[in-house]
Amino acid sequence: MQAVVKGDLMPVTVARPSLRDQFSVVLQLLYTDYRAQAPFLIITSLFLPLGIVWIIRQYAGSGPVTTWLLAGNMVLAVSYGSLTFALWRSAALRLTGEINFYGALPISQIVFVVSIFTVSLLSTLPPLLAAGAIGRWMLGIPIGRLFLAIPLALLAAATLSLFGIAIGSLCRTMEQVQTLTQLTTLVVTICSPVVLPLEKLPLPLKVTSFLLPPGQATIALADSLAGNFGLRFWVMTGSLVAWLAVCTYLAAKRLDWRAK
Amino acid sequence: MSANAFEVLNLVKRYRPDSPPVTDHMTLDIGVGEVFGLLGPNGSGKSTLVRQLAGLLRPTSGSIRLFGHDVVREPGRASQFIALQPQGLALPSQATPRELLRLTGRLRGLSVPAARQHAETLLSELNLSSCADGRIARLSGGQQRLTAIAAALIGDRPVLIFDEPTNELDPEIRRTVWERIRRSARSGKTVILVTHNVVEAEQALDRVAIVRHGQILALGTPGDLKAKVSQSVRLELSFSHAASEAAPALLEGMQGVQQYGARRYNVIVPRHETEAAISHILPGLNLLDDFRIITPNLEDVYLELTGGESHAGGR
Repeated sequence: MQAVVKGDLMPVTVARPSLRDQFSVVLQLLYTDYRAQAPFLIITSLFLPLGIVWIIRQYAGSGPVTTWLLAGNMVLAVSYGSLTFALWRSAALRLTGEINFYGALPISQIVFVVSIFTVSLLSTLPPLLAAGAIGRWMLGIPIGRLFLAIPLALLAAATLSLFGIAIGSLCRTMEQVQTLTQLTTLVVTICSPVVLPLEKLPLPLKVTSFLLPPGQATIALADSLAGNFGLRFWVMTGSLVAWLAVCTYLAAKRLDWRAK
Repeated sequence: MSANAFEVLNLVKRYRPDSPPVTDHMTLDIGVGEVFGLLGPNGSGKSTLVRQLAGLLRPTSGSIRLFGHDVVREPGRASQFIALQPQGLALPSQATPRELLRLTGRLRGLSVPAARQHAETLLSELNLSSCADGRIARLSGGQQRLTAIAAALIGDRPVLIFDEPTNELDPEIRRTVWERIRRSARSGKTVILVTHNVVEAEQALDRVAIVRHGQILALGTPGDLKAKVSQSVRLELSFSHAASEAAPALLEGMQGVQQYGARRYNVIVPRHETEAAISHILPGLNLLDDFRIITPNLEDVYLELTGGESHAGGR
């Protein structure tokens, strides 16, 4: 694609890559950050779920409660992986001024948001695969149900990544980044049924579980792993899609590199 | 056909409605192929102006036209014509210089082989080959600065903006950077330089704006500005050891004589009296180890116009 100077002005032609090429190159640039942390992230994300599920199994056997907790474990992996990575990355872009590097290059803003989102998803894959393997070998969950759980988990990861981008861009100091990360952890672990099954939560937390993406993801995932594809499953999945749309809009709006 | 790359009219930038303007009704044109300098003390608004020119900061009012495009309304246009080396060293810190240059080149529309070739040339020219595969975060400040300059140069954008390009660089590599910038200018690129290194910049600049408190105090060629500000010439004399006793006799009757060492003297003379003063000294030339005629440099102009404010850092 060419940008051509208007009217009778000096004819300058400047090459501009296609959106696909922009995405490919920006992804490679952003991937360098993930690459630096990858060994630690992968080791943690593979071994942590294994240990947690093994302990749970000692207490609860391999019944529905363990299946529920495996779903919760998947959501925890998604939250800690994609959401915190996206939150930290979008905050760091502004705080370090690195956003000026990207802003001064001919990159479409939506391509940039999608690239951060894609790298965030990368950080989700190892724990998701680990949780899937554990579900199969330790809990005997049928492979078909696990395959169905993966797109659901990725949908949750997408929503949470974009939510992380949006709130990360609000941070003005590193202290705010840390506070928001801890607050996110609190919301995920307390206001969602990822540690305790939904039935055991008090009413206010049941309400937040149905309203917030981590709770919706856990409920939908647990239903899917247990083979319950009733109304609740579809309402939760639909709500996640709605959150995805809202978070995409917020992320694109918040990650404007043109300062006011 | 327009001869201007940039046309800036009445540009104002306030960060809050009640705060003083950081850019205060600036109006200037920057010609195509011109090497334009922005000089000014700390916090004078140079970097704020540059960020507006590059479409990274929205002006409060006024207009910026880049090759006829309205950058205020279409900020995305700026990145298609401009390559910016920002003042801070905030590059993707886990990438290597080689990766960064190749990928930046591709984002500027180069093919994969062309980006690779251009990256290797720049790495070699700027002495970065030895650290080209190390993470940027682990490079020295000078190497990071050079990487940022190389990233601005790759892809041959028609407008290059360098914000403090020679900070943290040693004298040898500074000379290489200035030569590279001059070469870009000779190839027809428009170059905007924000720098505190006034003496070095003077060799490269076609025109300069001296900025303070968001306003342009002076705008013109270095020669124009020097002539406007100072009408004096400085004669520097260094007497030989054997002839030091003869100095008072030779300089007798001259105005503006300052001694600054056992055998060293400055004589400040009005420009129109320079010829007479030199004629006065020439008969005693054999008494001197060194004799220089110094016209005011851009730094003298800068210091006089800005009142000698510190010129470290930027805003």
